[in-house]
Amino acid sequence: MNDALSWVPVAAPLVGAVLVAFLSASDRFAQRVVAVVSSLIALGAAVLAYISFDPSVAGYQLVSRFGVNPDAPAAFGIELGFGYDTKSLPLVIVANIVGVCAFLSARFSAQDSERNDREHFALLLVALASCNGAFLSLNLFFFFFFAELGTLPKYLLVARWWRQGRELTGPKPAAIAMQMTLYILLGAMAFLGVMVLLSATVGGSLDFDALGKGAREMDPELQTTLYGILVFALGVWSSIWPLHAWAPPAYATAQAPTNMLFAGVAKSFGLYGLLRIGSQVLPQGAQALGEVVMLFGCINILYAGWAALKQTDWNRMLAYASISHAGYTFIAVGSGTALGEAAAITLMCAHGLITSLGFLLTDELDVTVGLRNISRLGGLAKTLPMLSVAFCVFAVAGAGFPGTAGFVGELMVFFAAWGAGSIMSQTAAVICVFGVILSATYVYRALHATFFGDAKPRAATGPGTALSGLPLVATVVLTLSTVLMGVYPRLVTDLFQGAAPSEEQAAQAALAKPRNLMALPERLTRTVDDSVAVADESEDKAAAPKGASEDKQ
Amino acid sequence: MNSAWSILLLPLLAAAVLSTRLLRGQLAAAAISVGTAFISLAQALRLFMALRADALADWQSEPLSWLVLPGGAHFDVGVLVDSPSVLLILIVSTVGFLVQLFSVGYMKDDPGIARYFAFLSFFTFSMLGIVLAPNLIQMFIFWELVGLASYLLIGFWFERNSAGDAAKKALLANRVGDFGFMCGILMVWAMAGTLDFGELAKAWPAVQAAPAILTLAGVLVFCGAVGKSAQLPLHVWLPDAMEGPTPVSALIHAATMVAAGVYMLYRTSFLWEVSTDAGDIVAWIGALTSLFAALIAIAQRDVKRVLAYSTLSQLGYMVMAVGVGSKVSGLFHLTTHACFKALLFLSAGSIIHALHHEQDIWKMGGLWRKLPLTAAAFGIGALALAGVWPLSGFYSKDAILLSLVDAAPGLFEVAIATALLTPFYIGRTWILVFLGKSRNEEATSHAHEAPWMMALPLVVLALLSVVSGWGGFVPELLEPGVVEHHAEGSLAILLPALPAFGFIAAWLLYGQGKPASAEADPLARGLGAVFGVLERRLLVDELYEHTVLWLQDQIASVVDAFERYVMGSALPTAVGGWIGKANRGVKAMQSGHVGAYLFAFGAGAALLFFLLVRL
Repeated sequence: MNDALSWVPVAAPLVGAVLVAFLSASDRFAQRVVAVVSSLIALGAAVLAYISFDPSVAGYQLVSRFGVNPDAPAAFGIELGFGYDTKSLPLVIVANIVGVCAFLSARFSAQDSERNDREHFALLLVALASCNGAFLSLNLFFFFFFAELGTLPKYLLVARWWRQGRELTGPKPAAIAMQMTLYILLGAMAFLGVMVLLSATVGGSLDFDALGKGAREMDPELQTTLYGILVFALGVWSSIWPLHAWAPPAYATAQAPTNMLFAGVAKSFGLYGLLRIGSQVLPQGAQALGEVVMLFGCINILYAGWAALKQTDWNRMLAYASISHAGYTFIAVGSGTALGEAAAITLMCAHGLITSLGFLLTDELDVTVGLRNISRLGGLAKTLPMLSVAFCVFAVAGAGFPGTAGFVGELMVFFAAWGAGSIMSQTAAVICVFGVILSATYVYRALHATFFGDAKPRAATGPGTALSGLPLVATVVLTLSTVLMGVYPRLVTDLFQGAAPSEEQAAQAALAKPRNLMALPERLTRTVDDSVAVADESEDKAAAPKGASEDKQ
Repeated sequence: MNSAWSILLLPLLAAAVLSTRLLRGQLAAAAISVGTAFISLAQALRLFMALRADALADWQSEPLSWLVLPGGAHFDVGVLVDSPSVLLILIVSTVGFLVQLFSVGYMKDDPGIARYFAFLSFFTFSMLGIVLAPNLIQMFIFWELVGLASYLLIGFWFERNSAGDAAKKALLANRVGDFGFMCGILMVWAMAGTLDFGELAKAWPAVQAAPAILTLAGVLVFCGAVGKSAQLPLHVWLPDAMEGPTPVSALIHAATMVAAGVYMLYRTSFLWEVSTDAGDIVAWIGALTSLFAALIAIAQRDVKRVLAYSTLSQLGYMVMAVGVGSKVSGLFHLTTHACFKALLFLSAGSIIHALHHEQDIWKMGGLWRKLPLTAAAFGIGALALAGVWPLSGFYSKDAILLSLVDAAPGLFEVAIATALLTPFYIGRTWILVFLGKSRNEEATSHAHEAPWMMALPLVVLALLSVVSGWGGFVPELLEPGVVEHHAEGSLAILLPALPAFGFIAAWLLYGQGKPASAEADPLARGLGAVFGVLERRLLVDELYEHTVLWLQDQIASVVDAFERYVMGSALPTAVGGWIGKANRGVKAMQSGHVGAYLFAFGAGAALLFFLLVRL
């Protein structure tokens, strides 16, 4: 019953964290080796799971459970178990690719620094374990537990391991970390409330599958209420507007490895949780609120996209870019179709790789030149050719050009949103497509200001050498992963082919629907009350185009 | 190797090889790139022979599955080999090879020559991807990649501010066009249930939808062509794109990439056939572009800008033709235009090379003695562009003008006006560059003809500019057996005579009058303020700066201010203050921030435990 492939990705980084803690504080090489090896073991387990995973079987595979006694249910339904399904598998692989790259590129702090690298690596390893645990948990409680497990390292990493030597303006790192933690705690409290209510009304095991069975008889209105609370409780993690304000200052403060693991991977917890709970536990609630989620996704795309246009700090710009991209995933989640689910997972994977690449490179820029203020940089391409090539590659991926993972994810969101077939979802699709103009604008604006044109005084190379050694290896790994996923997306999307029969039917219905959807003007003239009556509408639609075509003739 | 895949992937291979040697190996890079381009040309010719021998079946391949979506939608990547794609492959590989050969001479002193050839090969790959695309998704993928390649080449001299800005402008203008294109693709997919060209041509006429919806879908798809073929109102990027090396302008911004829009309109002609309203919109956008660009061209003084606006104008012709349903004449003009406009650009490159990067026609003059071959080549290009019998441009322009006679009223008149302006501006340019006395002895005194690898492409393209219209070769290839239309009655006299009017006007103003400097430009004095507006490109860039870009900036500023002062400051302070008050008592017992956090975490766990026990 217990398949090691599902618990090793959680255990390996935790064991690594303990091992690192026992190493000599001065032996930094060994610390890095332990961190890289334990994340490689986790990655290896995830890749092996990918190989042995059978996409045609619905539900969890390669499951491992601990301390579960079928005769005596655990207290409060809290049971530890891990397993892969089509939602968690791609995300775990991406999390560990990012993890390996984070440990490869992590910078040692200055010799006389009071912050030692041993704790740095240990905290990052705990963070990686938290990512893997949250994705792999079969149980609602442990999803929450592992997600929260990352919060403490996150606080400490932002508050204490910000890059020394940076010019600090505005609030102190500790205050920024505190603000971030408070926001996340706010979400966690609300999540706890929902979990307690679920436990109280459904009872029994808190496993997602068991909860789903139990919640079938639940009052749809209660489902909707619970899902509505979850949108914001989990939205805080994924920086849903207006609860996103913790992210930009935190990402502007932390070092690259922290940002890679948290902005790249852990930021997906919220969306992942919405997707899992929405599809497995509260489907009626998710359906009822799908359009609300899409609306917030639209706000995220536009609001953060415009905010990104005005940023002068590379990291803050990336933070807003990341918030904007979360909007796409919210729209995919809100569309509620099998295609939307696949699009959300694909886009989260793409976002993980590309955002990590971005933060890795801005840190390199910061270390090499001594600042990352866009308005004070200029013409660096001549002095730092290697770094500017890497940034150009990042810009291509960040703006979602074909051949990179971002394009595939965004394309799938376009089709998912348009295909969902309501006015809201098609508006969301148009906003998504518009967002691609915005992302190209802010990425290329920053790229040009930093690397092309006239050199500015600060453009002279700073203390470091640009992009070589291990950070270069990490850059190449992330770039190749992004390109591989962009050129051959079936590596990921083939996982979504063998969905359960019910989902398949839903997907076919979603595909068949848009054929008759195009009588837009007639749809737009309808009152709001009409559009609520979804069932009636589809019948009307079948009749409507005939009349329209007669007009034409 | 008899597979169209080899044609597509060969340039990619070259680009990949060149990228690995990105920073060194100047001549080796040129050799790899030109050699690959030559093999591509040979393959294209073999493919063309196969087409003539009706043996294309050997070159077909099964498409590869690229993306399979839950719910059954799937997108393939394949190679569609038929007469239009073979024609385009022939154009791309012929012009591509000649431009690469020319580039060896033109770029030989540039330290970035390896990067240059890598980008050029990457462009060829992307362009061929569009040409061979069997469905709209593949076309969109390579559509964006072509935009990227164009961006890289426009900004090739990235250390110049103007080059970087022009590259960014081209990228973003194309993205705006692609926004509409993608929305159009989504609409087409939703209505027809497929994106494959072959299936769409069958499915689209059967689609049941309101006429307005069909028109909207067509216009949105057309947006892609508006961006890529630089039609109004997104034309602003193409003149600025002249910041790139001149051979790039010849290949990308005259012969191939900008023609991709017309090719796409050809492939999606079912849209205009079903919705004539959409066709009319397309035709009128093309007509307005052709007229406005020709007007702007008469007032430009940079030789490459004249050619850039001329390109806009000619693309307008092609778009007009497709809009009124004469897609074959559109592709016919695309073919001849690729030859003579590449010739004009490479001739301009030869001039610029000889004058050490002087591009102002008012600082040239009398160059025909120094550069007789270039003068002849530019002259042939100019005659073909103006549509002088029996050069290629005459036939293709005639085909378009004839197709407009029965179209919506007004279009034909606009096209005639453009046809009168064309010989005027190109005649003006030729006279100012090659005749009279030098207006800048310093620059022109050392001018001499370029080496053979720059001269040979000029000769070949001049030959093609003469013959490529003969015998109705292109229409016969695209639509075998269709009888060619010929002008009858008064049109048969009017159309061949059109260029003469323009040339005579140019000669009277600039050949006989011999103005000595830009200040003495008789046109400028005659037109007064109007000339100033034309010279400043009808102020469209200024208009955008003060409307669209201004608005975008205002919105971003408002959002940024809101973010800074409300979301980033007021809200956290309020929340923090509230939590701080709530926790003041316990905070006093804690030693620091970590402790405060741990307390909160512990409190949360305690709350959970408490609630669970109670319930």
